Amino acid sequence: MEIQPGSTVRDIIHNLKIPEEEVKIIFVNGQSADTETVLHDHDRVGFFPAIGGG
Amino acid sequence: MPWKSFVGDVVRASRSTDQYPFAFISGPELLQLAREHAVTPWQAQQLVLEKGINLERYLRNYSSIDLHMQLALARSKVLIVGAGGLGGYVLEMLARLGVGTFLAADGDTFEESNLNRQLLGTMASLKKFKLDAAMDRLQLINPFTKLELFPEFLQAADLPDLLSRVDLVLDCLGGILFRNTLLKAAHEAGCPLVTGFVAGQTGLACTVYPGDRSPESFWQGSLEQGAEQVLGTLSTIVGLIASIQSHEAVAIVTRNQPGLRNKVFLADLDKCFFQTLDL
Repeated sequence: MEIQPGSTVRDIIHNLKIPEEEVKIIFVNGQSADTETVLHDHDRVGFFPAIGGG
Repeated sequence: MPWKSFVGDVVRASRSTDQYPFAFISGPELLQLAREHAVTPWQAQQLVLEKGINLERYLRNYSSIDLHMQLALARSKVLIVGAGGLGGYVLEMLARLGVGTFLAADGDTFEESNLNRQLLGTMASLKKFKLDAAMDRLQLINPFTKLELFPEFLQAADLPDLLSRVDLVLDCLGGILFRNTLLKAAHEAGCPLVTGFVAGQTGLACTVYPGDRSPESFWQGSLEQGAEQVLGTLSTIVGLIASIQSHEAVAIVTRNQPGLRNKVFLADLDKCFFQTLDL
């Protein structure tokens, strides 16, 4: 997706209209990140909800 | 040494081939000799491996698992918390690999909605305790093991004693609620933990030694917030994640070198996407 320069993970969460409290853990390019992490071109962002099935 | 004559009989009953650098003995013969010498099958397996003789049942474990590693597995003790989807497959695989002692805890009985993915759940075991099915299955697969049952939903107070008795714990719980309690107790007991957690067609696995980074953030919130509540769970992802957990357990027992410390393995079978993420 296209984003403005300087956008953070939180901006993406808001753009996708995902309730922030449902995002439990975030990875950017396979590294643990948080909502303040600033994104760059071609970054891969993963959001996860709570997961606990077995 | 009361077992000396037993070991002598085992040596005489064992066979060799050019293919393996050790002799081996068949399971039924070993059980018979153990009975004759009043040795338990669990003890018999360790005495045989200590003598440098393998069990025929483990021949295809070699050369990934050599005799020393096979003995380490036979001596190992693992706690499996949850005998549902993940726990059923983990028990199956670790019993076949040769883990000697299992402690297993689950207070649940089988219901029909378990049958889509839980190995121990059958038409015959519906409404019965999951752990009774685990005991039956283990006896069928590998009688050289020991299984101690805790047919209850564990509480935090139960954990220190159980964790002090094992080499590692496998978190095979269903739902997010108890997972952080188990993680914290394992940390305090100095016990390695191998966790698996799934939802829909996605699953994750991670190994946590005391002091490591952990995947606890996945388990925040209320029970209903767990994605599995909406997405359900397929048997394919359960089997895959249980395989990763079982292999991590073997890596811990045999060489203290698991692959998923401070990392989480992620699989999305819908996209055939696999990645290991840094915590």
